[in-house]
Amino acid sequence: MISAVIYKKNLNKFGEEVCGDNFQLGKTEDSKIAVMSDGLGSGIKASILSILTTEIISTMFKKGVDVEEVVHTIANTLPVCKVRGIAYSTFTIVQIFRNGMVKLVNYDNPKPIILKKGQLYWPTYQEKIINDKKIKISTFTLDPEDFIFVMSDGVVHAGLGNLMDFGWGIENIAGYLKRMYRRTRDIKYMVDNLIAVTESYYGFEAGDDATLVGLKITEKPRAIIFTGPPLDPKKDSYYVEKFTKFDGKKIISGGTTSNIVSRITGNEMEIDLTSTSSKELPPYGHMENVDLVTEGVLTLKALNKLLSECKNNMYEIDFDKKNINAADNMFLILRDCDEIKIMVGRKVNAFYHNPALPFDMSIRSNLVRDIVKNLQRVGKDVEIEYC
Amino acid sequence: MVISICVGTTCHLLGSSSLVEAINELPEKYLNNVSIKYSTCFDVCHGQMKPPIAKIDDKLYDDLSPDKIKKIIIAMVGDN
Repeated sequence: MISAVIYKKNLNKFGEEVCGDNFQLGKTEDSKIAVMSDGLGSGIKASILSILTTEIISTMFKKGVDVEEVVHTIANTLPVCKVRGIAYSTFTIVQIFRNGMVKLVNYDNPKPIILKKGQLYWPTYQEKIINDKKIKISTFTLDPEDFIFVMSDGVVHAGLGNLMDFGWGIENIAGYLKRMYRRTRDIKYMVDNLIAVTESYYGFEAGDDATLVGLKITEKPRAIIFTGPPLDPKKDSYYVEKFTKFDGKKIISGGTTSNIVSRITGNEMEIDLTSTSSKELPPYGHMENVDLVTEGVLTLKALNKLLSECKNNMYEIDFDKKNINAADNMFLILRDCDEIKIMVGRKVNAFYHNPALPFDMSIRSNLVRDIVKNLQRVGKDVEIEYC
Repeated sequence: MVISICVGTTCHLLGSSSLVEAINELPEKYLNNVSIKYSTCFDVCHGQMKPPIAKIDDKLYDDLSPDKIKKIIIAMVGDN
């Protein structure tokens, strides 16, 4: 199964409070849709125009309308500026299907840059004239670790009349991204870096709104967290089997839980002595066929704290990669996933009621409920199973 | 001598992370005889034993403090 990790960053035109570009993420049963729109001009007028465009497009997708039909509606409703003879807003739609097929629709935005196995890939576009508007549509397939970058013309025109005659241009940007691919595959780093360069080409006073949306094609967009021992010990092996057969990233959170999995699968758990442990969080480890093993309640509490710091998406927090603890690690795994399943054991650990503990250990299921709420807020599909 | 220190929730809360630091402070002649491992819950803390708990060569020790574990190691290595 194919999905994508999506990260966006934008610059506002110098002196403007809002960005005239807008970006929205949508989903259908078998695909993920990213829509980026650039409103004519800048400031609040452009912002409203672009929000209108992305909103119409994503709402229609949610209702199950086909791409062509959506484009038709948008092309027919988008007004054209009387003075300049250009449309009030331009847009790009990327639809990524679970089987790896990608549908790209572009109307007057710069050509999206695609990196296929590290090489630049320029698909052939089919042109359709809908209500006098030239819409470019292309369909192709991508594999995990391929990238698509969608941008507004503000990025392409950076440096125009300032450092360069015609701005840094799509070919130069493509070359820059290709070179960056050799150093890193981190989508956040790539987008942040390119926007930083764009801003410097503008002399730190952007002449236009500039938005860059990076899409990294990934595999296995699902994760499962197994936390807490099942209420009925007789059912341990049933749940462990369910856990190990799960197709996706696997996380165990809880000492007793990892002992149960280790006992039933026969795989020994290894706690990394060099993993970062601190006064707050115990260290983490690995087990064969399991991506991460951590302590339970404290780590989940720390994870929930991280999640509640994110307003809209999980890219709002930066990590020092050399120094990440168990909760950071779990956060990073979940960030790359679309669907998260949590298996919560209901057996109560008798020691948690001991008054010797320094603070109240909130019941695991309450904590999990908060985590689920936060994960849903940042756009994840969460399924919970009590066992 | 293999020392497995429990890093489960309760042991951690009651100070198991300071045990590793304490062991690493020991003079080299003791450290050379010791290999430290982290372990998940030994599942004994809801009975008679009080965290933090460590297993030294198949024997469990409970209610450890940095000083206590140092003394145990010094005594055991000294005997050998």
